[in-house]
Amino acid sequence: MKKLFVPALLGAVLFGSAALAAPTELSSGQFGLVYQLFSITIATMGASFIFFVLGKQNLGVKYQPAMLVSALVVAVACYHYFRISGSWSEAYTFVDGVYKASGLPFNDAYRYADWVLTVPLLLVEAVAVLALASNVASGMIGRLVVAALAMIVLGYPGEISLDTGTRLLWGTLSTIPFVYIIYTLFVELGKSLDRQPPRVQLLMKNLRLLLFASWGFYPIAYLMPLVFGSFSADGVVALQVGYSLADMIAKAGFGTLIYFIALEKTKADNEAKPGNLAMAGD
Amino acid sequence: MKPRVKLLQRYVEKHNQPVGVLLIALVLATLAFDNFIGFGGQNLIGLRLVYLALMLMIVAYVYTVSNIGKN
Repeated sequence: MKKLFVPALLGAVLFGSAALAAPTELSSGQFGLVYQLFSITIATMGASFIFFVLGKQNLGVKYQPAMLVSALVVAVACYHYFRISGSWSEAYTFVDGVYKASGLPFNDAYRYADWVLTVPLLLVEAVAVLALASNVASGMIGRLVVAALAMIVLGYPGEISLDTGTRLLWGTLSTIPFVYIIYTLFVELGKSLDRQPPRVQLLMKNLRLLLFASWGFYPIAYLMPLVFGSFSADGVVALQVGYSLADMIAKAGFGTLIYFIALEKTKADNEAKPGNLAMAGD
Repeated sequence: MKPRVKLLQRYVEKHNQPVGVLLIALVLATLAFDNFIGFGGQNLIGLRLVYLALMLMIVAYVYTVSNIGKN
């Protein structure tokens, strides 16, 4: 059973369809809200990429991979939002004061392709900055990566379904690995608090809150089409707005906090071992 | 651990900066390829396959580099 689970999971990640049904008509405000938010997200991710690449030089060698991952995550997200934004513009044409479907599909598959790469990396980045013992980190990284893939896979069928029951069923199943990830990170971050320097402890507490707030936003966004009616204009707009806001906080915001934690830990390491000072600047 | 894996791990530990740059280059090349040529049609199957491979490589890299000096 266990041998079949991982190949089945990988198959679903690769071949799951994510063609999203889009409403046939949007008001100018609805179209503009999503379009502007996509633009803000592209700018946020792009600016974060530059910040993380430049900031990496200020960190100790063992924290640099976490920053490298942050930079990759926001660079990939920036590109995907560029593609999603382009698809959104092509999917609608302005006719008689409203935006009507142009006939070209709104390809939201980039959002899911993005998550296959970025969600496991975000988790690994958090574990890397904790600097846990290698045997603890190894097991945790493996479990979190599998849980992240399971969460994305189980979310697919509900996301592309127009049926409320199907959406709720797969949404609930997807919530199981989601809760496991949040619980594991929350508990591990809590356990590592005592071993951290005082300045880092405050940042770690903020990281836990940010993790809870940003990741908690995704299921809320997922449920938006149910609140406003399956694939009504309001439902799809709320979904896109929710996911974009959550992505900005979970990727750019989370990465920024990881940077400041790594910076404080580098300073603490250097104070403990003055010989490391030259290494951190390399 | 198999000797070849151990050898690769030692190589990554010794040359972690160039390997990191190589991984970034691979990701950027994937994005450029997708933008100009395209992967796997509307469902992006090819892109997801490449992302999965990249994700596993990056996870292995971060794990290896984070453990330098611990083993």
